[in-house]
Amino acid sequence: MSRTRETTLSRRTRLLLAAISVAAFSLPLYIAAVNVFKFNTQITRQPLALPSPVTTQNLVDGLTRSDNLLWIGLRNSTIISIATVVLIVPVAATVAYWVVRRRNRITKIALMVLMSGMMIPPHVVFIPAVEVLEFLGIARTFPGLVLFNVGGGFLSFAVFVYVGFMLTLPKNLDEAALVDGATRMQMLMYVVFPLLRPATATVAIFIGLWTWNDLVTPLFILGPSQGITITSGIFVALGQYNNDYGQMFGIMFLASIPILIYYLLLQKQFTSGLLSGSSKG
Amino acid sequence: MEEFDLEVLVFETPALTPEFWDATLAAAAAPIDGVNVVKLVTPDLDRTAYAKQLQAAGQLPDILAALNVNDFVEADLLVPYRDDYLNEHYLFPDATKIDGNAWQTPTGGQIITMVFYNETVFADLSLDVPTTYAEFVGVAQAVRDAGFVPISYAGAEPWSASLTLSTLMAVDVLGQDPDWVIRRTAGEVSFSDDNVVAAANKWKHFVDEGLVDAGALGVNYDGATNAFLDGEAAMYMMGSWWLGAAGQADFPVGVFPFPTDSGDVVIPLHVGGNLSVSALAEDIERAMQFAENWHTDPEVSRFLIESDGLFVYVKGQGAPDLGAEVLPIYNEAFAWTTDPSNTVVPPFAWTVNDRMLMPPGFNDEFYAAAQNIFLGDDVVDEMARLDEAFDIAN
Amino acid sequence: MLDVAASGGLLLFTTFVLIPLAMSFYVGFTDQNPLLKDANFVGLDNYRELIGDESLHRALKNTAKLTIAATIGANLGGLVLAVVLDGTSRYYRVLRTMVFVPQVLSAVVVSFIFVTILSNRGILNSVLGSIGLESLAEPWLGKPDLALWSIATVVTWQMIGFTTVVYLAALQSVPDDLLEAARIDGAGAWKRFSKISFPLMGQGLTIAVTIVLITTLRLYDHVAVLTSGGPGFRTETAVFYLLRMGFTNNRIGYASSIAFVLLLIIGSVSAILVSLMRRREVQL
Repeated sequence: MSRTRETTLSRRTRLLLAAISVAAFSLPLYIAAVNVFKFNTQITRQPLALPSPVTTQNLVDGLTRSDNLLWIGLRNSTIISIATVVLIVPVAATVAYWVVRRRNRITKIALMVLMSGMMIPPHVVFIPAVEVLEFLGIARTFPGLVLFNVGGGFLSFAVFVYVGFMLTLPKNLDEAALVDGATRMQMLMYVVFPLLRPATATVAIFIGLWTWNDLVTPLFILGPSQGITITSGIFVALGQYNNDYGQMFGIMFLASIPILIYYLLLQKQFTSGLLSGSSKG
Repeated sequence: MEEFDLEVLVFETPALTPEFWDATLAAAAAPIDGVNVVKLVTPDLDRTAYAKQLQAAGQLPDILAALNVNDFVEADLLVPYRDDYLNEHYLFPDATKIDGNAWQTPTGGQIITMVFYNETVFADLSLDVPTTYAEFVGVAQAVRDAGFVPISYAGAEPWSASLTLSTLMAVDVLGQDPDWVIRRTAGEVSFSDDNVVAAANKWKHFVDEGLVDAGALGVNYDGATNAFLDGEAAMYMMGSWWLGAAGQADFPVGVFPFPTDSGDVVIPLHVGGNLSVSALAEDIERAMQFAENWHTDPEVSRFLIESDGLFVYVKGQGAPDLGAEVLPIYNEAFAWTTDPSNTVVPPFAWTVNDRMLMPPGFNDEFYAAAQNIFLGDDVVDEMARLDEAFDIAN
Repeated sequence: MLDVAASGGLLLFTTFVLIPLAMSFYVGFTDQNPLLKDANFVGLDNYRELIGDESLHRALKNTAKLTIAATIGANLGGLVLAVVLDGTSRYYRVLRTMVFVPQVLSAVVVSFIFVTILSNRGILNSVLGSIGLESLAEPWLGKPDLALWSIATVVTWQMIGFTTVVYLAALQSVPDDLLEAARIDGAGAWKRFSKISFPLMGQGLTIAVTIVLITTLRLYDHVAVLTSGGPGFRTETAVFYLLRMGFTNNRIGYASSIAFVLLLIIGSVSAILVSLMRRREVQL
């Protein structure tokens, strides 16, 4: 929108309106945040009030549990999420580049099949996927879960974003390099991939969020014996602390901090990447 | 001996804490060579369904806590406890047997359900403890008319929502015909029979009369507990495990068995154990040894008595034997289960033994029926639906 | 070389989606039990049964209601918030970041927050009570209709984080000179939005609507935490019912047949919607 057309007065009113809307929208977040620092007695009696007295007991209790639930969950989820993002980015970018630059009947069919992957409820493929992983000898392992993440419905989304973004890149850009004798792979790596930054940020944000927040996939594919992920850990704690809101808010707060920081670090990059992600191919 | 990981699937609740499991599992493993216990915790889903998920994904743990064993037995996935072990250690060695085998130990008994009441409220309203069903309804109405919620009821979780209906079924149907479920499986009786419909109608009557809070399907177990503890409700129908929590109340808590029409006392008593041993365990012998050790550890018994209100049936490990700290109401309720003039039946859709074998998924249908009746569904239709669900699942 | 590299990705997809999908399709014609290795081929029995399965129909109806409500709600809400937040100062940047937070949190966390708000003794009812509006207090998660709308509200709230970001990006991609020209021609704010900005946001609309739609059609986590499908199974979604049949009632075969019906529904609904919306997209 134009940056000149507003008078100072209406600009202030607009900002106020925006702030009020966001405040109302964020009320549930406020509730979650203030109750992290309260004792249970105050949570029950004054759920909306500011903490008084302020306590960090809920956080300390969460971090010093005898079963190390949070630490194990944070470690496992960090490993799984990073590995998934690091692998899916080059895989999806390559497939997308192939689809966009080869442009023949095969790539069209491949893209269609890949896109349909977004519609499959993952619950449908869990049990047979375990059999496949068993066959490959990586059932119930971190590599098994990461490969399942990279190859599954997440890949469809990542390819969708990359294809859309690549279509907006001028074609002559890399054709010129081709004339210079570079191979397609070299062009992808040195010319195209650096230009894909917004799309890569989009993919990294969403795949990272989804992997971190995934409840059901790790329960099936990894199982409990390899240790719990952070989101299934919250679910476990919910059983134990279902009447101890302070503990639950504390654990959820701690479990959400890393992913919030991750989002804040990447957010500048990503909106433009998402938007060109509508596949016109 | 070679070292191996023994995976134990447990569930954690406010009463059965991580610390309890960690300490007792370690103690059970200590005397056995080479056992490295790996505690796995069920996420807050249906435990039995989660164990099935694990089996489907090829990762059934070696030991499973508090399973609905029925389906696992049929699939030959469990190992039974040895008869000489059961005879040596348990007061009722046959109580959990299905077809002659015990897949869970007969560790202890729970009344599901009984009535807890606020003695102060009863005294203020000059109410007597009811001994017949008619008196019970009278008391509840008097409480209601005085502006209290008569019965605190947790309707949000299906299992707790079904407690009253389950108790009615146990008291009114099984109390007259202890083999009712066996005969239902054989097709000789049905949920549409008059006596069953009458029992279900009592539940409907509870709801219609406002004896439970109209919004109770939005109240979870903790909410209902707190409503009773805060003095908002005069009575609380709950399993005897709540005997372990009743000490939190800042008013005197009394108890009475859920009354029958005639005033004869029928006690719905669940007898069960905790751990089951997987037939797929890497080392069945040591897994079984572990489970046996755990069940006969006096510290486990003491904890279950004090925190979970369990009537422990391990020989020499009852509350007095161990000097466990219990409330007088624990002893009072325990006495009902041993009084020879009382009839003892298994709670409906809760226990799993020869007399109470439900087809897969049926318990959930039964729990839902209790909620549906609460929501105003026709009782006769709902019972017909249960018959259909029973037959499909069978 | 490129073909080889790309086929690696396709191979992964085949291994972890297509092959399992084919296996699951086969299971839909058997009586597979999660506890047993062997299963019997039962032909079309499962598909015949699901045609008359009223619990499934109810679950599908719930899914449809939730999907329609969340898709409309999250997109309208996102659009409004995007317009409100389309400013340039750093204050707006902070506000925009806050709006996306629900989308960053897991469904389990978001649903738990709302359990503390919506349960009978929860925050909403106690606030209503303290401002003298006790009569408006309701068992928000305990009455089937209300509970379904409560779930829809929670999902909508969380998805608004996503849609707002998409619409903001779409709004900001509308060329300033077009809007400026319209303003000089005397077009008001509403007219500029409805005649210029909105038509040019077609691409964002397609993405936002499709993602919300696909997410809600597969809804499970929110329901598991908020209501467990109750009371009386009346807020079960299709995926929730599918998992109950599979792992509570031991009927993996039947659950697989339901999964394929669901897949068919999701596939055709999104295909129709996308092609309709594509047609509306205005290209610059």
